[in-house]
Formats: sequence, structure tokens, C-alpha cells
Amino acid sequence: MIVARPKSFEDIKRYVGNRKKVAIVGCGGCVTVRPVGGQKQVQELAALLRLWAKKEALTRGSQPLTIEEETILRQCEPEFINSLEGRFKDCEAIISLACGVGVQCLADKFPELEVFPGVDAVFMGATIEPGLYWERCVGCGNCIIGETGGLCPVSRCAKSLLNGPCGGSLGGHCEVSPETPCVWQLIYERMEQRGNLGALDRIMPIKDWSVRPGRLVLEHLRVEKKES
Amino acid sequence: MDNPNIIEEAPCIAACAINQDARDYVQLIARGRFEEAFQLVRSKNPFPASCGRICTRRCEEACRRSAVDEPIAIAWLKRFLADKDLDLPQEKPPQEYPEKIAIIGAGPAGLSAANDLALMGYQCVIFEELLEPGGMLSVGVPRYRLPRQSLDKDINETLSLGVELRTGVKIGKDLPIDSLFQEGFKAVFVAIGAHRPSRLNIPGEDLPGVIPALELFRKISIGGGVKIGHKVAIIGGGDTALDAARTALRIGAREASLVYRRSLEEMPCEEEGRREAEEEGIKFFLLAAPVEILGKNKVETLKCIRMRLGDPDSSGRRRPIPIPGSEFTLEVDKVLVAIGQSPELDTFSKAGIRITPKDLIGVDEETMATSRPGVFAGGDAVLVGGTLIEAVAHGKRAARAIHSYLRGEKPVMPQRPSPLKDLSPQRLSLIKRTPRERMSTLPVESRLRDFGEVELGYSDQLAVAEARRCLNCGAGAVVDPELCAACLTCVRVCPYDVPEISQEERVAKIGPDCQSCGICVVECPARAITLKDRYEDQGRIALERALQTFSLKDGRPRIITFLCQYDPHCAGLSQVLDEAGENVRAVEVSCVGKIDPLLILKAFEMGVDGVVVAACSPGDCPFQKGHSWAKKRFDHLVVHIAALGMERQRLQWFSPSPREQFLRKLGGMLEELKKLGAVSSHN
Amino acid sequence: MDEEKTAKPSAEVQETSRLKSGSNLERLLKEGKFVVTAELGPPRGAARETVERKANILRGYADAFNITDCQTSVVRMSSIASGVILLEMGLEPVIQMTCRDRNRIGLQSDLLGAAALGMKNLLCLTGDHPKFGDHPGAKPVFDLDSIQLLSVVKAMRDEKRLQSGTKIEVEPRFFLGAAENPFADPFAFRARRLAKKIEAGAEFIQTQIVYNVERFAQWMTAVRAMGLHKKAFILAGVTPLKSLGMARYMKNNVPGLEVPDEIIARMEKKKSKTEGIDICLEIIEKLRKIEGVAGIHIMAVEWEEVVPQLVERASLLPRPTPSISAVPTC
Repeated sequence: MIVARPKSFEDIKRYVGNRKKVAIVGCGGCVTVRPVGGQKQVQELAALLRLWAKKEALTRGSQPLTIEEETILRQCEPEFINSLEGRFKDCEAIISLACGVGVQCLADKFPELEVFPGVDAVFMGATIEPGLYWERCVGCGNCIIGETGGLCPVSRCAKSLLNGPCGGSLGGHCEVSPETPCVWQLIYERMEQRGNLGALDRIMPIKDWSVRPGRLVLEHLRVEKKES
Repeated sequence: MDNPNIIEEAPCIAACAINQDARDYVQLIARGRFEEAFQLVRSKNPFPASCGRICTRRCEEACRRSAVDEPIAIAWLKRFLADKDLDLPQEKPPQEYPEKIAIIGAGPAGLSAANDLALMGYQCVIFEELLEPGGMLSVGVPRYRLPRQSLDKDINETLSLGVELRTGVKIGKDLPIDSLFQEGFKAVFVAIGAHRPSRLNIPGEDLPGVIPALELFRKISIGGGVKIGHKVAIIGGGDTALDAARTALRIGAREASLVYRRSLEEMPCEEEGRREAEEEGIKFFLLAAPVEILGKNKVETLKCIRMRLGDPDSSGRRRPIPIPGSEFTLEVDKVLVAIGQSPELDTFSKAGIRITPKDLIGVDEETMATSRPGVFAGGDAVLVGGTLIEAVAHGKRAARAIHSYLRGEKPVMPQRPSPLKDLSPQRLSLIKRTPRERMSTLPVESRLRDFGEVELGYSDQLAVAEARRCLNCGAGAVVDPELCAACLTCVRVCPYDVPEISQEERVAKIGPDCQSCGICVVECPARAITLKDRYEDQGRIALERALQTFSLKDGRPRIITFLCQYDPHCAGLSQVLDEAGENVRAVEVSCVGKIDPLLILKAFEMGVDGVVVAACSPGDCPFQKGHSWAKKRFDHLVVHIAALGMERQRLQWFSPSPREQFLRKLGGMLEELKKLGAVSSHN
Repeated sequence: MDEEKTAKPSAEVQETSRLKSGSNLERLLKEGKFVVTAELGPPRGAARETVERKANILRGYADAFNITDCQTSVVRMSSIASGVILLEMGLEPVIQMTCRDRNRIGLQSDLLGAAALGMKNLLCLTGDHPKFGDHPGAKPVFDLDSIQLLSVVKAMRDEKRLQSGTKIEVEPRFFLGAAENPFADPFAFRARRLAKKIEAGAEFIQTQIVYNVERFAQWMTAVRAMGLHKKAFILAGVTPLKSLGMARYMKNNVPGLEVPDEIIARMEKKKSKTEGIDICLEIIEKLRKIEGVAGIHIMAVEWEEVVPQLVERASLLPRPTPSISAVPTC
């Protein structure tokens, strides 16, 4: 799932500025599960902003701040986004607590409104333990994990080395961040365990990185547009 | 048990003959909401003061806390409420019905039926043979266990509903049943109890000095003097036998010996009563049965035989078998017989009502209807050896059935809820052990002087402390499957490992072992979890109330102090704050782990100048982890408060102990807030 | 490369025609000479004079001069540009090229240019992560890794084609090198990884700085067991310690560098530059005796002054005169 971290309150304050009414829209997907953008966070951010507006009444030109709070099931699906039809009419801006995907879907739905990101999506990752997440995939579009012992060097090596480890692997850790295990050390150990170190002697071919901006068509899932 | 969220019931509620809302009133007591608690009790049970004293407490036997340490003292808590003279709302029946109902017997069954029928809007007349109402409670239970004034309190509450009581009238002798119908009564409830003592059927039983225990009680209750002699033997092993023995000591006997044919284990009596009897010096002759009473014109010797226990009989208890040649004698002046009673039924069999082979009135167990239309029966007349709460249950069932009968409807009887299963063994070690709060008792020396109540009751503080031990079974957290994102947060934060997300269900399920700590409720990012307990709002209403009481005129800083209700150091702090005369209000929460940071923000939003969180010491949290979660959230919130430009001093975490230090810090905070001014000072 | 050739090849295989690049370094190595290369760090600025000053210090004391490519991700004058200055001074550069800052387009383009400017020695490196440098927020490229870069350059040279497969008329003729760290983990994998580099095209290897000779010798044993010393020339890296502080810094802060405690102890005792030089000389002496070590690579960045005395005291003088022909100016 996508892992995100809340933006600093400084950023959010700047987004709200002197506006009288804004909406905060949470997402029931990844950011609810890795809790930074669910209904709870929508409510908390709204309360903080109202309090801030109250405190800054003078600098904000004595404008009270009204906030519409909403959380939809997933901000990356048109059907759920469309359920917001007709909403936020008198809002001047929307703060989305979804990843960048959700922010853009909202912005497309409400092109006349300014839509701001309330969180920074940082990576696709796994929960290692509650409150600790680690990147595990970059969506490179060309998965090689089958050849690297089930461990992804693209997302987990600081240099995305395909023929690693580099000379900075020490004591099983990455020189770039010592709390990060060296994935090539892990790959080596796993291959050794499998008795398949020979697989690492093969020079991994140069990778095709030409996947951005990604577009995926799965023909068998397409539905003909209904005549309106 | 009226909570629609709850399907399986707390065992205490399920075990009770009337499904009294034990958990719920205990939870209310835990929150200091005594009046609501009492109203809840009384809405189901017209005998709270009596039940609080002499109930057989199936609820406590079933209490799941027993597996952790000791059961909740549910009865004592009920008694605590009943003794507080709390107000009850004046209930007016929704409508008045024209039919009059005759109730025979002013015991617990009769009065319970009258109570419920009166509340439905029926006119009831109770015919009582004795001069005082109360039935067996009045003449079968000694006053040191159930003081008359407590019993009267219960009875008067029912009578105040407009129930008419006619004492000194014996139906049958003074007034035949048929004439009740002729007089215009449309239904009759027979609740005559069982007042005919059972006989020992041994030689010498009719000697002067052999008297039924009930006879003794009756004489004392009507104020007649009784010569008890020096040495008394009591036959029997139930509460009545114990009561008779203890009564004997109180009216002058020097020695009271209880003769019971089975062992201590089989005695059909309350543990407390037996312990107290032992303390008072009652001698127990167990595994012994009387075989003959000897004497010239009066009792002189009681001859007994030793028994051994054989195989279990139909009652499940091991059958006592005499040991040949083991006879022994006791020199006694009086023999009190307490081996049970049966109802006097001649009048009713003559009136065409079916009597069972066991000499009881035959009834439909659901509706309490007898073989004669319009006549219902309950209490000991249909169930010899029944308990107080069973009698109440009969009265209540009969009331419903009579209503349906009179309205020509099919009777709908309340479903009995099934109890939750026991706490899973893995949970036991995770629940903090807290022993039961003891109720103080009268010292033995002063007990025997008169009939003063032995058990002295709980103080407010003890009652609250005891009630807080309640595990709130079945009323814990519940997940809204529509909102659940299966994010695992609840699974991860629960100190008791209760929530589960199975591959099949795909949403979180919080089972009946939930301890209601509320941590998951606050942490759930989807806001999918709530507490089923309708008395738990995590401080919201208390905050609303506190905000309303602030003085806004004089510009003094307003502070909300969140207090942990469970912490002994917080006890009474709320009052101290109120009395200090400052603009400081307390919001008590049953564990600070239940406080949603949103609530603190809301307090600021509503204009308070400062917020204090006063939690227990880290190791004292009844939920183990509530304290640490509260602290973590607090620290996180402080960062946010600072980020929005508010002064950090406005949000503080003080230990409530020692109190002087707490108050000093609070004073310092007030000073600081005066300097800072209001949050929106630019305004 | 000739499979039969030893680390000190016979005269028969020393013909210039067999050389891939015609560089002095390649020739000397293939002649079986024990070579000396020295590192030259370009300035953080556009001062040509700095390059010239350093080059003049080193002149005559090494066979080729390695010019770092923004070492430790710190922005410096480019390796190729600095190399041009050296060529103009009549010295032979070894160009370093990391995968950190250029994708496959930039890499190939710059290397074509370097070849046209007369560069003949190329050291292919993955490069340090930008996090360690003066622009830690830079987006690291790492489109290729060092092994893939070697294979790309080898194909450009030997097959006259770009990575895309496009044919080129004139190929860049480089003597290809790679680096290896014998001290990094997993230790057991280090020799295998060297084999991959050699398979990808590396003809000479520069190692990480050696302080722990024993461990280096262990690695060399594994290297020899795989016959790798016969497939590529291994140049052991050395760096004289300037001070105790430097010794400690190297030990604690440079990943993949092993400084044994006894060396620290010696630096503590003497606290002088000369002790550092003495240690370095002892290390060089030991390294020369290890079978398969074809030369040394001196990395005395920002202490180029020490190189002459180091080379002299190691009895590695005189260096063979480079046979560099006149170079085109740009």
C-alpha cells in the first residue's frame, strides 16, 4: 500500500490562508490503513485549523473558518469521486488527505477549486511493525524479484543496484542509512541458503526504465461507455 | 439488556431470574451516576433494598471476574443504591385500564405483580392475611439481615403507585375466591407463599419446645416475647436454619447447635451468612440427623445419628446415609425446625384450581396461569424453596400475562438472553488483578445484643471503587463493518489482544472479552469503532456540561482538567476544583486512554484557555496501557498545538499526586494563562 | 584477453598491436611491469592552475594519473576536463566515470568525447550516493551500475555499437578498469563480484585502500583461486595516513574501509606524518609480495606532495618514460 506522511502544519496553514471555507477530504484506502488520511485525521486537522483560525482571527481579517469534513471510500476511483457531485459549492479550496493520486482525481472533479495535498505520499511499502513502514516497490514496471531471491534491489538498494552490493555494504547495513539492511546482503544470504549463489554470477541486464508516465490498459476489464 | 447492540448478554444479567441490568447499573455507579443507576435497578426490580441484602446472587456466581480474582459485589452495590434514598422519577402509566386485579399475598411475588400492573395502568388490590406486608421477607428473614425499614422502603415504593393493600384478610376463610370475581375483579394472582412448616416425622416432634423456625420469626416480628432457653438445637442447613440459630443467640440463648445431615459443602445457604454464624459462635453438627426428641412434657434431649454421603440423589446432592450405631445426644431446651415449608392450598383446590402431586399450585411456567381462567399464581405457592428473585420474576411474568389475558392478546414473554462464554484463558493474565472491596460488618460483640444489621454497607468511595472492577462484559467496543478498513490498528493497539481480522470476515471483530479500555476507539482511523456501553461517551457530555458552567464575565482563565476516574488520587479532586472558586472545571473520564485528542481540541475551540490532563501513575492504569496511550497522544498534540501558534503552556500533563503539587502547578498555570490572555487574543 | 597470460606476461604477448587502447598503463601492465598510479583530485572551482600544480608534483612518480569524478559526491571540476589538462602537460590520465550523475545517454556521450580528446584509460564506477556529498538532495541517476557500464563501454569498443544497438563508425578505445572493495560485506561474495566485473570488461582493478593486509591477502587468495589475477591486473590501493585524526576518521566514518587497531595504536604513539608514511611503505612492501598484485594505486588526495617521497622510498623509481604522443588540443 501507499505510505504517506502528514504535511507540516505550516504548509496546511499556507494553503488555507485567509479563506473562509475549505473542505478536508479523507480517503478510506491506503491512508486510512496507514493512518494519516482517514476520517480521524480529517476531524483532527479540521479541529486544529478551526483553532488556528480562531487564534489568528486578526491576521486572517477576522474571518471565521468553516470546514466541511468528508471521507470517501477511495479517492482514486471515479465512482467514489463522483459521489461528491454538487458538494463543496461554497468552499474556496479542498485539502485532500489522500496520496497524490487522490489529490489529482479530486482536482479533476473540482477544476474550479484549488486542491491541496494534506499528506506527502512517500512510497509503496509494507508495515514492518506498527508505526514502522518500509519501501518495498517503486512500480518500475519490470519486476526482477524472481531473480533476486524475492527481495527487490530496485526499491531497497539506495542505488537500485542490479549487480550489487556496492562497496558500502558493511555489517549487513547500507552505508546510506545504517538502519537500513543492505538488500544485497539479504539477497546473498537467501541465495546462499537456497544453495543458489551461482544465480548471482549472471550479469543482470540493463533495465528498461521507460515506464513513466505509466498508462495501463487491461482490455479484458474495459467496459463500454454507456450511451447517455 | 435492552441494548440492541448486545446479542449475548453479560453472564450476571443472563443468570438473574429477572435479568436485572447488573452490569449497567454497576457501570453507572463506577461513573458516580448513582441516581441513574438506582432508577435502572428499580425499573426492573421492586425489591432493590431487599435483593441487595438477601438475594442468592446468581449474578455473582456467574461473574466473569471470578476467573481473574473475585466476582463484583453486585448485590452490595445494589444495596448501596437502595440505601442512598435516591429520588425516583414519578412514573405515570401511559394509560388507565378499567379492570381491577386481586392479588392474594403481599409477599415479593404479589407486590412485584402489583408494581408492574400498576405501572401498566391497572388498579390492584392486595389481600394479606398477616397484619404487615412483606410475606416471607417479613416473617421468614431476621432483621439483622433485612431490617424492617429497608423492606418497608421497597414495599412503600410499590404501594405509592396506587396499589391498595388490605391486611388481615384471609382469602378462603374471610373471603372465598369466587366472591373476588363477583366483586368485580377481572383477574386474580395467587401469591400466598409457603407458610406451613414441614415436619421431621420423628418421635417426640410434638413435645413442647419443638417449634418451627418460622414460628419463632413470626412471634418476634409481631413483638411477642419468646422464651428460648439456654441451649437450642436447630435442624436444617439452609438460610432459615442459620437465621434461626443466629436469632436464638440474639434473644438470649447461650448455645445454638445446628444439626445438618449433609456436609458444609452441601449447605443450601449463603457463604457470608454461614461465616458470620461461625463468627457468632454457632456450633455445627454436620453429617448428623435427628432421630428422636426426648423429654418429659418438654424437650430435654435431641438424639441424632451420624451420616455418611452416598451417591448423588435427584437434586444432584449426595444422599446422606445413616451410620448404624453412631447415635449421640444433645442436651437442649428448644428445638427449632427449619427444614422447609409448603403452601396451604385447601381453598384453592376447592375453587377448582389444579394442584400438583407435590402439593403446589399447578401453573404454566411461562405465563403463571393456573387451570382456572383469570387465575394466575406465583412465588413459593408454585415453587417451594424458591428465592426472593424467583418470586419477583413470577410476579413480573404474571403481570405481563394478566395484561395479555385482559387485553385478549397472546402473551409475549421476554426472551431470556444467553450468557457470554467465559473469558478466554489467554486473557486472564492480561487483566489487572484488583481485589473486591470489603464491606465492613458490625463487630461480633455488639451483634448479639440486638437485631442491628450486621453488614454495614458501602461508602460512596468504596462503591465506586468496587464498581470499577466490573469488566463491562458484552458492552465493550463494536466495529461498524461498513466503515472498517481492516487496517489492523485495533488489533495492534489492544492491550488484551481481543480484536481479530480473519481472512473470511475481512473486517475487525471485537469479541466479548473486550475490557472497554477505549484505546482502539480513539485510534481507529476510520472511526469505525464505538463502545456499546450507552453510559460511556468518553467525556463528551461531561465536557459539554463543564463548558456550560464557566463564568465568562470576569475574564478569569478557564481551564478544563481531564481526570482519570480510576485513579485514587483523582478521587475527590473534582470537588476540590469546584470549591476552589477558580474557573477550573473537571471532566472525569473512565481512564484517560479514552480521551480523544479531538475532545481536547474541542475544549480549546469552545474557548477554554488551558487544558490539563491528570492521569494515574503509569503503573496504576486499570487497563495497563491506557496511561501510555494517553501520554503518547498528548505529546503528539502538544506538537500540533505549538504548530498552530498556540502557547505550549496551554496544554499540560500533571500528575494528580501529590495533590498539593498538583494544585500548585495548576495555580502556576492559572497565573501564566492570565498573562497569556485568551487564545484568540488578537480578537 | 589472453587466457594463458600470467600477471607478468612474457615478451611475446607485449606487442602494441595487442593493446586495446594503446595507453601507457595498459602497455606497462601487459609488459609485466609493477605499475604505480596516483590519484589526482580536481579542484572545487575552475582553477586550471590547481590541476597543473598537482600534476607537476606527481610528474615522474607514477605511470598514470587517476582523476576522480566528483568523489564522495562533491562537485569538482570534471574528470574529463581535468584529463585534458593533463594530456596537454604530457601526462597520461585515467578517467573516472560514475553512474551517479549521468544516464546511459550522458555516459556514452561523454565517453565518446573523452576518447576523441585522447583519453585512453577509463575507470568505471557506480559512484557514491549523493547523500554523502555537498548536494545531498540531488536525484541520483544510477540508470546503470558499474558492471553494466563496463559492458556498455566494452561493446562500444569491441563491437562498435551503442547500448541501444546503434552502430558507430569510430569506436572509443579505452583500457577498462573497475574498482573493488575487498573489505566490504558480504566478504565471501567480493571475489565473485570481481569476476562479474571482469566478465563485463574490466581489464584492471583498483582496490579500496588497504590497511589490513592480512584480509586483503585472504581476498587475493580467493581471487587467485578463481584465476581472476590472470584475467585482470590488480592494483592495490594505498593511502598514507596524515595524522591520528585521519586514521580514526577512516576507521569510523568511511564505510567499507578497515583500519586495524594496531595501525591506530602506532599513529597514537608517534602522532606524526612520518609514521603514516612508514606504515604506508610497510604496506606497499607487503603488497608487492602478494601473488597477483600488479601494481599500486596511491590515493593521497589533497596530499599529493607526499607521493614523490613515498614512491622513492618504496624503491619504485625510476618510472618508465611514458610514450605519449602529441595530443590534440581542444
